[in-house]
Parts: sequence; structure tokens; C-alpha cells
Amino acid sequence: MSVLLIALMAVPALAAAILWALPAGTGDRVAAIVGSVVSGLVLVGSAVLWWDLVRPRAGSAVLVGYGLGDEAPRTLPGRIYAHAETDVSWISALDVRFHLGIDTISMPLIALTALLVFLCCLYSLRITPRAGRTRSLIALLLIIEVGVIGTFSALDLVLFFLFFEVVLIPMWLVIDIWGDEHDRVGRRRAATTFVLMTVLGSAVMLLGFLLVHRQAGTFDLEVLGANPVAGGHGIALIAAILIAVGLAVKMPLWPLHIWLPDAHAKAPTVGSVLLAGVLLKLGSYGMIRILLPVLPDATATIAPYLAGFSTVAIIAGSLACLAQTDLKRLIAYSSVGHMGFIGLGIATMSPEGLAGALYANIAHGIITGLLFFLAGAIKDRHDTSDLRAIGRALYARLPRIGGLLTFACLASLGLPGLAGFWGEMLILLGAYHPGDSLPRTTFVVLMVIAGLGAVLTAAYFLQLIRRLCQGDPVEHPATAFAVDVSRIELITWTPLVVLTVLLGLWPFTLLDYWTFS
Amino acid sequence: MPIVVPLLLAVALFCIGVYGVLARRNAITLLMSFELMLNAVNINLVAFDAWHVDGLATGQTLAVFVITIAAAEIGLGLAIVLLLFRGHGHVDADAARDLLEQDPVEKGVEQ
Amino acid sequence: MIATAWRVVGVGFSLLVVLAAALLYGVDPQQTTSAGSMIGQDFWFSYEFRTDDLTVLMLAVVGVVSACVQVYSIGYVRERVASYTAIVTLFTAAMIAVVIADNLFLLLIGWEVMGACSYLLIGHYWERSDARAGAVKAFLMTRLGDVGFLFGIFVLGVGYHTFRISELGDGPIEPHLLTAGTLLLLVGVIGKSAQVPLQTWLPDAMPGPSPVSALIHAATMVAAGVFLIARLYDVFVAAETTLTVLAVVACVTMLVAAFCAMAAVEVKRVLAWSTVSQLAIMFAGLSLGTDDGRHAALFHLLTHAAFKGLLFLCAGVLLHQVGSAAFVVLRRYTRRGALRKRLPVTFVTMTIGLAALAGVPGFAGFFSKDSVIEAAWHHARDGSAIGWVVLVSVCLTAALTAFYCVRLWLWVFFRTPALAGALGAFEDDDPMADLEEPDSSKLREGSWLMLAPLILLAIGAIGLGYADGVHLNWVVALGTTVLAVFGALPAYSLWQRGADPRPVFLEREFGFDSAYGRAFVVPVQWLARLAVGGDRDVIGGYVRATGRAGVLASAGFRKLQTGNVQTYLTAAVVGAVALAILAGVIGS
Repeated sequence: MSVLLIALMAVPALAAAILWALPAGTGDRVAAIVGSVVSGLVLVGSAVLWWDLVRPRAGSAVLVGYGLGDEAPRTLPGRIYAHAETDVSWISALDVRFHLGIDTISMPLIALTALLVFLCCLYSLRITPRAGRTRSLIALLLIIEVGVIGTFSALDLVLFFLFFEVVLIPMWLVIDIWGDEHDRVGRRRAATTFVLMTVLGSAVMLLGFLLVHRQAGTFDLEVLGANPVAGGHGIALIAAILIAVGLAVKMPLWPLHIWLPDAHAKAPTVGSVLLAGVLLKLGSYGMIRILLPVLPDATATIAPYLAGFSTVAIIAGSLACLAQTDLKRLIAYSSVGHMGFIGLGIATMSPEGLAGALYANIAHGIITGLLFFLAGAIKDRHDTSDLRAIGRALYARLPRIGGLLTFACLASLGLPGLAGFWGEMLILLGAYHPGDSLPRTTFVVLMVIAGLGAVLTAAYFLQLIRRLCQGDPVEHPATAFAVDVSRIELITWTPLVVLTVLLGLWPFTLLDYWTFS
Repeated sequence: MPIVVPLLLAVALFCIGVYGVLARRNAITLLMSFELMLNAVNINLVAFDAWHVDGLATGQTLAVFVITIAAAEIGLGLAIVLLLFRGHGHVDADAARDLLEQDPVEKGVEQ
Repeated sequence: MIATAWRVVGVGFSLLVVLAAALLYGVDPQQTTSAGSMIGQDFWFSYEFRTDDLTVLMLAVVGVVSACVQVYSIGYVRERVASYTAIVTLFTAAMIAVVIADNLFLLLIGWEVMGACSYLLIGHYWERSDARAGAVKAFLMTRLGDVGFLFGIFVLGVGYHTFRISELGDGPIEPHLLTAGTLLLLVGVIGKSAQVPLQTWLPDAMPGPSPVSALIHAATMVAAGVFLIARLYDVFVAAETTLTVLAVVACVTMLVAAFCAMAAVEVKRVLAWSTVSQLAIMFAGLSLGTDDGRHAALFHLLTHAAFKGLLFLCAGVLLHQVGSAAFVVLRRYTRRGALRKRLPVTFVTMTIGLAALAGVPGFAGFFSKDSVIEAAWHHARDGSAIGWVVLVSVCLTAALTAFYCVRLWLWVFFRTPALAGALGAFEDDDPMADLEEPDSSKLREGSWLMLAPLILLAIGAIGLGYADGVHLNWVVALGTTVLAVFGALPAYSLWQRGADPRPVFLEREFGFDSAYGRAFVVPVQWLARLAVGGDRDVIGGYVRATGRAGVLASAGFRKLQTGNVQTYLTAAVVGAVALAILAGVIGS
């Protein structure tokens, strides 16, 4: 029984309940303060948990998320060395256990979640959507945090599914109630599309889980990791395809990505930050945690297709960005492209590719979180996110925001020296040298196409900067409402900027966890 | 007499009853045909009871049950037909489509 | 105040680099090792550094030019000084990272950060549309090259089983992997050093501030490609195909660029094309595959940094004072020799720089170009076709170089003896051709902050030629002098007649830009619209169709609710009969 891990989930849930129990007249500030304190505690708790995970312990040799196999090390068996475990029998009739635990793969993601929720609550201290009712918004954010941390720490398939679903309704509410205030129909449609597509994916994924149970006799990930379901045909293959499709909707992977641009464009700032920074990680995390260790041979069979779709996602996402006129939709499509890279990394089934996918997950969460904060700031100042309406020459009107936007765009396009590079590069290296059972030529071709996709990524980000930040300031005079960075924004964004640079120049902290040798 | 004769009679009566239930419009005719079906079943039961005597007289007992239930049902049915007549002014079963699910009037269908 | 602080940091950092170069001079080559991350069996990254002669040379070049540029910028740059100085300092740091890196990924980090700084600095005057366009083009073309560079690193690193530069070339590698890897590295080099076919970004980068052009686009970033090949010379020498490709690229580039320089009508553009051409000469020297060639290329890199940096800074003074560096504008000041008289230091130093570029005997460029020709000649005498090709190309380029140098010098500073307005030189571009000479009373020499670097670099442009020890091959020296004269004479005679014929294909710079636009930009934009349309109509169509299908299905099922009791009963009867038959069939 790990009290800390359970507390990381129980405390926000309790706080959400308390927030809803507060009288209706509770001000926005009070709610945001409560939220900040609670999420701050969760952040501190996750830092303690991380330290506890990695401190040298007597007798323990190496801390890797995956264990070593006796055979050729380019395949990745999935023994989980779980830490902070809780393992009690829960629904014995269904063979479901309440099994929580963390390892070096899930810990950075949990810390990222805690950080982003904390920053969102801090942001809400001063800047809230016009719809008001911040009390409910903060409560919903905390519920989402519970769901996400639960998903990252679940070591039982049904428990994973459960926490996976917990985040959906709160997110629907966040988008529908606090979303784009000018477009009621649009945000209802965006929220509903998001929920329906994701639920369909989850249902398909659950089918896959049931098939796994039928083959292996257990839902427990630790047991399954030690004895994976062998065989690349038949039930195992069907299960792998079902699970992959289900997680692909969440990732999102082309062509199941269509919910993402609408959901991001209509969501409020904090909603977009969490959606992009945290919720998108659930899909790729699921693939790494469930698909690869539990169904290795079947995954090897579908890996080329996964890689193909991922590469198409990179190219199609980048191309779509070039023709966008809405700032948030553009960043949403850039997320589609980045998730394509991560999918490619997972599909290579090689140590480098997997490490790259994990690194890119963290980096994308931080950088795209920053991008959406900036987009939200620009949108709030101009009351629209349409690039044609915002105008140009932001360097003159909002110099600091323009500068930060340039920095975030350079980070997002994978400039070496900033966080985005290592993930992309390791993924391409993994594609150059994929797992043993995979067709090498296909992957090298996909690597080349993905490299060209990286150039396209640079193209659209530079086009965005040119369109938005640069330009003749005479034609685009400053407006009275548009003030440059405020103090709360600076406080909220600085950790993300610092982390981006740190993870870019000092990747060893994270890379050392995922050596997979 | 051979068992076939009353069975044939029952079948004939049952078919006439089915035709009546499915094809006649007048609600009272509907009820009369339904009675015909029930009585055909009665004849069937009695005939089988006479042909295969058992100690419990199962067929005759069931026939009595059917008569009782038929009587109760005709009471309820006629009460409904009466209400139908009072509401619509006729007892035409075809024309009584109040349970029909209308397609919704176009009021900005955005699900 | 912040601006001053950054200026101090900038100049201080550059001087620190020079100090480091001085301290490391003569020290034995050594490497550091430190802990790093290993993933799988291949990937290895750690902060490792190495020094050797090449490092010291590059540190000296970067340090001195960067110091000159930082000091010059104090007088030159007036707006957004803090961000400018900070980015230039970051650039210098990135170049240092490239030069001292012992891990290929660390080199890549510096390499690409330089590209990003170049983008930001070209876009320093982001109010101007040519600056915006030039910045994007520069970054995208170099990024394309960098993707190839990254793949080259993969191939070589995985092939040699190490990513440490000191160990590359030590172990065995399959030949085709070696060729592929070096060719891919070459793609990166071609992008970064603006060789054909990725050369069009450099002239378009000229809207950036002149000190930026001097530092980045003359002395350091574009020279990083030369440095890379010199650093990995053992690996490249082993891959003969790559050297052949490099030789072809270099020879084509030097001629193409020289021709384009002959038709450019703006001082900085001439200098930009000249840079491309001189870089190609360095690459040609490297492509010979001999130690002579490498030595000559690096010597030329050293002298080129001095005189090209000098020339760009002088162009900056002209821009600063006159407001434009176009020939049409500058030649209007030539009637009374205003530029010569009022900007004497600039005039003298620019003359020295052009003389060095053209290869006038005694100046630095003369010695370095001759060493390249000599190396080519030796290689050709040993029976190599590449040597002959390189020899002929460099000689031809020397003549062309002299042509455009003299052209630039005469048209900018001296009044053509032919009457103004006659023979149409530049006049068709100049809407104010018949105006009086502009007011030149406000023309002043730049401040000492701008002049001191000029003088320093001018001394370098003369003196560096002797840095290698003078060992002249008299035949080669005579040959190049004759070639330079052959190039200069037509330029002089055209100027004297007041003519400047510029063939259309040269003005269009061989049509590379428009071809690239048609081949890449237009299709990509069309594909982008296709992608958005596909998402909206095809994929979105499927999603909307699913919703519609649900609605239609429920509408269909609703038709069963006729409201007619007899219909329901009929259905019940039919169903019961069917079940009975089924039960009978299954039972039997």
C-alpha cells in the first residue's frame, strides 16, 4: 500500500468535492486559490514520489522501466519493476484488481500532469473565462488530474480503462461551458465529437482487453508483462488491432484525429493546455504500457501500419497547418504532427525509438502547453483567434509575447538545444534502426518522409511567426486592450520556458531512465 | 368419432379468427374474432381431453380457465372500445393511430 | 541599460574566445570525456570536447571577427539592441560549440542553433518584407540541409558504432554506408554553406544588418561547412565518390556564383555571391583529398574571413551613411568623389578588401588562392581528373572575381568618364536619373567604433597572407596575376564606356529561385489546401456521415411505429409462426 500515490489521487478528488460543496456565491479567486494549493500539494507529492523512485536503494541494480531479456536486446520485453505499489483484490468476480504502481516511464508523465494542472490553477487566479463559475472549472480540472494520474499509475487493464474514461465527461463540460464564448453551437459540436469519438475508441479498446483476458487469463499488467501473449495471428492480432485503434483515437493518430482541431479551437485556455499537454499523452502511454509488452508479436505485425499512419499524420498535419487561419487550430494540427512522430517512435519497437517517443511525450506536453497558454493570451487580448483579425506586427504591439511565441515555435519545430529535438531525433534514429522483426526498408523510407515532415514543420511555424509577429507596424497599430505580459502570465509561463531549455541542453536526467539496454 | 374432426373444426375457427383480428377494421369485430380464436382453442383442449383421458382432466380445466380469462378480457376490451368511440366518434382500428411516432418537426436538429 | 550590459557581455565573450585561442595555441591535441547517456547499443550523447590545430584556427577566426562585429554593432545598430546583441552572442557560443565538439550531436546542436540565430538576425528589420522573406528562406533551406546532415550522422554513427568525432574513422565500416553517410553530411554542408543547389538563400539574406552579414554569412556560419569537412577529413578522404561529388558541386558553384556576382546591382548582393564563390573554392581545395588541399582550403578560409568581413562592414558604413547600397544610389555621389573624400577610411579599407578578394599580388587573397591552385596543380600532375577540373575552374573564377571586384570598386567610387544618362547603365532602374547630385554634406565617416574593426580587418587582409610562411610558386603567381588582369580589363573598359550589360539569365540568377518556387512552394501550398479540404470533407465527412447514419437509422426504425394496432398484431403472429416452424425444424 502506497499512501503517497493514493493520496495524489484522493486529495484532488476530495478537493473537488469540497469545491462543489462550497456555497454558490464563492468567488473565483477563492476557488482558484483552493485549486492552486491542492495542485501545488500534488506537485510536491509527485516530486517526493519521483525522488523516492530514483534514490539509490540497497540491492537494486538499475532502474529501467523495462527489464532485460535474455535474448537479443532489440526487442523490448516488458517486465515492470513497479514502485509505490498498491495491489488489492477489488472485483474478484471479474478478476479485476486495484493495482497501482509507478516506474520510470510513468513518473515523468505524472509529474508533468501535476505541473500543468498547478500552472493552470495559478493562471486562473487572475485570468478566468468570461463564463464565470470558476469554482466548477477548478473542480473539473482536479477531477481530470485524478483521472490522468490514475491512468498513468494503473497496473490493471480494467482499472486503466476506468481512469481512462474518468477524464471524458469533465473535459466535455469544460469545453462546452467555458469554451469559445462566441460560438455556442460550435463548442457543443466540438465537445460532443470529442466525447463520442473517444468513447467509441475506448469501447473498442475494452474489447481488446477482454480478448487479452481470454487469452492470458488475467488483467494484471505485471503478470502479463512477465508472460506476454505470444503469437502474431489470431486472437492476439485482433486484440492488438482493437487496442491500437482504441488508443489511436486518443493519441490522436491520422485518420482518427478529426476531433482534435475543433476541440482545441473551442476550448478555453486551461482546457486546451490540459488537453494538449496531458490528455494526448494517455494514448501513446497506453501503447507503450499495454500494446508493446503484452502483445509483442502482434504489435510487430501491425507496427509497419502504425508507422505508416504516423508518417501520414506528420505530413498531413504539417500540410494542414500551412493552410490554417485560426491560431489554436494551427497549434492543434501541429500536435497531430508531433503525435505522428511519437507513433512512429513506438512503431519502431527499438530502444532509441521508444526512448524518443517517451522524451517527445514530455517535451510536447511542456512546449505545446506553453504554446496554448500563449495562444490563449493572444486570443484574450484580441477577442478572437483568427489570424486575419488579430493582425500583424506583434513584435511591435506585444513584444514579449511575440518573443515568447517565437521561442515556443522554435522549440516546437525541434530545434536542437531545446526540448523538442531529442525526441524527434531519437525517433528518427529508431526508424533508421528498427526492431529486429520489422522490415528495415519501409522504416528507412518512412524516416526520410518524416525528416521532410520536419522541414514542413519549420515552414509552417515560420509562416506563423511571419504572419503574426512580423510585419509593418504602421499598418497595425496597437490597441488599448492589448497589454504585454502580465505578472501572473510571467509566473505561469516561466517554469515551462525554463524546462524547455533545461530538457534541451541537459537530456541526461530523463534519458538515463530509459536506457533499455 | 376420430379426433381429427373436432381438431379441424378448431383450426378452421382459429383461422377465421386470425383473419378477423388482422384484417377487419371495426374494433368490435376485432374483439369478436378474438373471442372466436379463444373458443377455437377451447374446442381443441376439450377434444384432446376426450381423446386422451388423464386423471386430472387437464384439458377441461384449462378450457374453464380460458373461458374465464376471455370473459375478463372482453370486459376490458369493450371498455377501451367504448372510450375510443367517445374520443374519436368511430371504432375504426385503422384510423386510430394516436401511437404513431411522428418525425420531429425541423427545429434546428443539431445533435 | 540592458542593452549596454549585453554589449559588454558580447564583446567580453568574443575577447574570451580570442584568449582561449591564444592559450590553446601550440597545445597538444586532446579530448575530454564525460558521463553521458547511452540508449540501446548505438546512441551515445555526452558533453565532450576536443582541441587541436583546427580548433585553435577556428577559435581565432570566430573570436576576432566576432569581436570586430560586436564593437562595430555598437555604432551601427540603433533599435532592439539588447535582443540583437544577445542573439549575436548566442550565435558565437553556438559556433564555438561546433568547433570544440567531440560528439556529433553536440556539433549538430551548435550547427542548428547557428541557423536559428541567423534566422532571427536576418529578420532583425522585420518591418521590411524582404527581410522577412529572406529570413524564412534562409532557415528553411538550411533546415532541409540539416535533415540530410542528421541522417548522415545516423549512418556514420551507426556504421562506425560510435558518435564520438575522435573515434570516427578509426574502425571499419561498410563502403556503401560510408559513401551514403558522407553524401548525406554533404547535403547538410551544401545547405549551410550555400552551395548549388541550395545557394539562393545567401543573397536573399542581405536585408539583415551588415555586421550580421559579416559575421554569419561571410566568416563563420557558412564556413562551418568547410570546418566540418576539414574536421572529418579522414572519413571523407576514404569516401572517394563523395569527394568527386563535392568537386563537381564546388566547381559548378564557383562559376555560377561568380557569374551572378557580375550581374548584381547592389553592393551586398555582389559580396554575397562572391562569398558563395569563395566558399566553393575552399570546397574545391578540400575535394582534392590531399593534405595540401585541406591546408589550402583552411588558409583561404582564414583570409576570406578577414577580407570578406571587412568588405561587409564597409558596405555597412556605406548603408549607414547613404541609406542604400544599391549601385544606382551610390554612383550618384561619384560626381565630385564624395564617397572617396568624405569616407576616406572606408574607401581605403574597402579598396584593400577588394584587392585581397581579387587576388592582387601582395594581399592575403592572392596567397591563399594561389595555394589552392597549387594544391590542385599538384593533384592534377599526379594524374587526377578532379585536379584538372578544379584547377581550370579556380583559374576561371579568379578572372571572374577580378572582373566583379573592379566593377564594384569603379562604379561605387569613381565617376564614369562617359556622360551620365548616356548608354543606359543602371538608368532604366533609376527613376531619378536626371536629378542633381544629392546633398553629400551630411556624409561623415563612421565613429571610431565602426572604424577600428575596419582597420584591424584591413591589416589582416594584408598581413594574413604571410601568416603561413611565404612559399610562392612563381609560375602559379604569375598565372593568377595574368588572369586577374584579364578579368579586370573588361570591367575597366566597360566602366569607362559607362556600360553595364547584364544578360537576363544572370539577372534572374539562372532562374533557380523561380524554379524552386514552381517546383516546391506552389505544390506544397496546393497540397496544404488539399489536406485541409480532405480533413473537412473526407474525414470530417465520414464523421458527419456516421452521425447522419445514426439519425437515418432511427428514422427508419421509427417507420415501424405505424400506430396501427393490427400491424403490430400481424407482426406478432408472423413472428410466432416463424418461431414455431424454427422450433420444429431444430427439434427434428
